[in-house]
Amino acid sequence: MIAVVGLVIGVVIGLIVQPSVPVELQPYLPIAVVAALDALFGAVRARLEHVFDERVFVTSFLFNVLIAAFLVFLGDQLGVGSQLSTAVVVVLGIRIFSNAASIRRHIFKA
Amino acid sequence: MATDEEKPTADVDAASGDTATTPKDGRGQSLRARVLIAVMCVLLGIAIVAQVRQTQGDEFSSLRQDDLVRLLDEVTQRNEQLTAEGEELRTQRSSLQSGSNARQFAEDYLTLQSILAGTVPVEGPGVVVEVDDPDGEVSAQTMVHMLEELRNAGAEAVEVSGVRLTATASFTDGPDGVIANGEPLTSPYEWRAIGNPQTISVALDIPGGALAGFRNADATVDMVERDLVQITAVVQVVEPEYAVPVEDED
Repeated sequence: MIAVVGLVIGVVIGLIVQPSVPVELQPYLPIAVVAALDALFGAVRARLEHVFDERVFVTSFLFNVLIAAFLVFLGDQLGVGSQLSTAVVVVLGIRIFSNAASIRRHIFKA
Repeated sequence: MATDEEKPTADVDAASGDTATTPKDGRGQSLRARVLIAVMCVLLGIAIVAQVRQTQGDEFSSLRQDDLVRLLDEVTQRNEQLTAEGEELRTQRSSLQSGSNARQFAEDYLTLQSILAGTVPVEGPGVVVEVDDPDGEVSAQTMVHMLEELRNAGAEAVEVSGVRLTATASFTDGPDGVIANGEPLTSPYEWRAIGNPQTISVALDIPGGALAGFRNADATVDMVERDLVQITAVVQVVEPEYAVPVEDED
């Protein structure tokens, strides 16, 4: 619940302040956002499975974001930035889907 | 490999791997952790909004290098097309301008032809010759002689007593005097000619010339050179019935 409230507040703040992304962060922000969404879905699933741990959530959230950004950075340095970005997004997308499937089963029992 | 390995691990992480040590529910957690979660979610919301705005703001920033290269090619190609089109239009414009030159030339030619054909009133330097012939001795022959002398002297427009004399001018002897272009003339005859006044006066006044012919017919002649002679008489041009232009001219 607090996460949803925080998310809404964040969106509202973003709409009001209208922040601009620093140039150095531009390649990493989309991947970081996807990673954070993945962590969020994982947290919801854990919550529904009654195994939610806030410490684990915070850690995995930050770690996923950092790892995703680092992978993009590494890909850029290796000259495969776009491909590695795609790979990260695909993997995170698959995880989001599987988490969403678990959430769906918990909510709709189907 | 890495993804396969990472996926279940992270999954378990996100789903809280330490199942045994974790309380069954989210309740009872420390306030600090909840605040941290809230802060992170706020940051995530801001980041999402910022990223969405960023993506909408610049349509090229999310494109890959291949797409950008393709776009650049298309823009370059389009640029070349437009350059060629501009060149073509420029050529058309210059040809149209020269076309307007041709139109100007045609108008000048029309003016020239109108003056020569006697269809417009004209004015300019020239001479006025008054011929007083009380006895009616002046013949059509003399009048033709006068006209030919004027033409030889370069007169560009000629009128006699209100009758414009052009290429189709004719003089005939009538019962009461000379008939010009079918119009009977009465003495005194007033010749008006536009051209170089000196040239015309000298040409008319030579011994045995046109004026001498009038004097031989016992007529009195008075010639005046003027800076401005007006010829207001015009002729109606009849449509040529038989003669047609040769198509070969350009």
